Amino acid sequence: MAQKIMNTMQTIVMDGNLQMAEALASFNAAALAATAALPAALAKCKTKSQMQKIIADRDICQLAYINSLNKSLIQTGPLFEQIANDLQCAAKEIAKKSKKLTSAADAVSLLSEAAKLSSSLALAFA
Amino acid sequence: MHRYRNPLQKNQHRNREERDVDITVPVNQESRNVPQCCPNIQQKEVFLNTAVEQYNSRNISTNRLRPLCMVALLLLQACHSLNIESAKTLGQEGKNVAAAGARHIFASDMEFRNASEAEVFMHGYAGFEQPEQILDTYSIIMQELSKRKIVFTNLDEVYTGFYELSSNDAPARIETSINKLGDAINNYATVVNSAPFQSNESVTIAGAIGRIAITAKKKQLIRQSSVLIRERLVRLLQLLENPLVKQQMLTFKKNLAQNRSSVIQMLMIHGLLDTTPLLTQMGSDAGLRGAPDAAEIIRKNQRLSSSLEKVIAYRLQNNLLSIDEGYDATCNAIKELILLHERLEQGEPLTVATVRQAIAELQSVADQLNK
Repeated sequence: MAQKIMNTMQTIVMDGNLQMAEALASFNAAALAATAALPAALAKCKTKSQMQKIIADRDICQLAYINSLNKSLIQTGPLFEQIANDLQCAAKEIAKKSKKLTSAADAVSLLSEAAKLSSSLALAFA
Repeated sequence: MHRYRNPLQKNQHRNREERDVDITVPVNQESRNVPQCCPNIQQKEVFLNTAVEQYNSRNISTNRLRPLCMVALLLLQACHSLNIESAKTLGQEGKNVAAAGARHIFASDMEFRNASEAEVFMHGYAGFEQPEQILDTYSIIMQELSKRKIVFTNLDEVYTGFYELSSNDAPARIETSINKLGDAINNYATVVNSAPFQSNESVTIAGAIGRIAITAKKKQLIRQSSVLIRERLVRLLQLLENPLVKQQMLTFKKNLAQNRSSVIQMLMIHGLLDTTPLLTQMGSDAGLRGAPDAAEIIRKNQRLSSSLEKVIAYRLQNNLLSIDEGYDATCNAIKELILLHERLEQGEPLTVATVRQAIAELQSVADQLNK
């Protein structure tokens, strides 16, 4: 009988559908609610120890959130690095293409300058 | 023997017979390059005939050249229907999206600093020392997320390059350079007492062909660059829409915003903030502003202060919602950019109205958050 009950008992952790994104959202929701309740709660406190208890309880939610966020950043950091590198390579590639066009015009421009110089020299030595 | 009509003298004869007298000369005359100052009349005639022959031959080659140019023009135009002006506009809009997106996705240094100070204030208020663990973890997170901003910095760089490529004046320069080259060569020929290498018309046509060829090359390079950018935009969009990435960015900004909001409310409760600017905003429709002693009146009136506190709480709550809106607006703007790139590559006309609307939305959200 006890075994059957255990098999049918479920907690949020055993749900199986809780993913990291949802866990982060849940932690943040708790931290936001705790922080939002601070002004009114602190205003009602009469002693310092009451205020410290409220802040300490709020800090538990806040720390749970920021620690889980910190750990989760490792998962997505490399993805951003990859995209940043790809964009940098694309920028270099596009700059190269622009240089190609400029070089073609520069080459003809140099040639025409050379021809001008030649005719000036020919005139000088005529 | 060849008989030529001398066009150089067509208006100088009194009667038709004189005008129609042809100047004849043996074809195999060796003195083709006789200078203009010929003392001998016969040599002069030979020279004139040579000039006429050359003029006629150039005329013929130019006439053959023109249809060829038209065919070349048509072929080149058919292959490259991409609009360069649209590419320039797209480059500019891309830069705008990159700048606006960075502001909405990432927390600014000011937001972070104010939120950290809010943490210190709340703990100090309760008699605690600085919350070192929270502040240190905040700093680590902020450093890591700031590194990711480089994605948008690089996106801005990509679009700067794309705009410069689209604005490249190589086609115009090459046409000018070819024209100058033709003139320079002709001048050289004149100096060395040779006949001109090309007619002015041929030089102009050559310049036009050069410009068209380089324009076609430029369009090809723009299309290739557009494909490069579009592929990366698609991946960036996928990354931003990744549920974990979205939650990381959004929840951090909201967490910082809530810290600041809570401290504002604590300061209000103690009457340390002047609500006059808020009253001025509320009266702005009628051109009114808060009275000089409004703060004092509010402090003494429980209903007034309670109502204004509710307004402030509502406004701060909307700020949190705006964070979601800003993130979604950034993703929408990137989607619009992807569509515009596809249209550009297919040679379709671009209307940047939708991406400008997306950028305007981003600006509107930013303005709301900065109030």
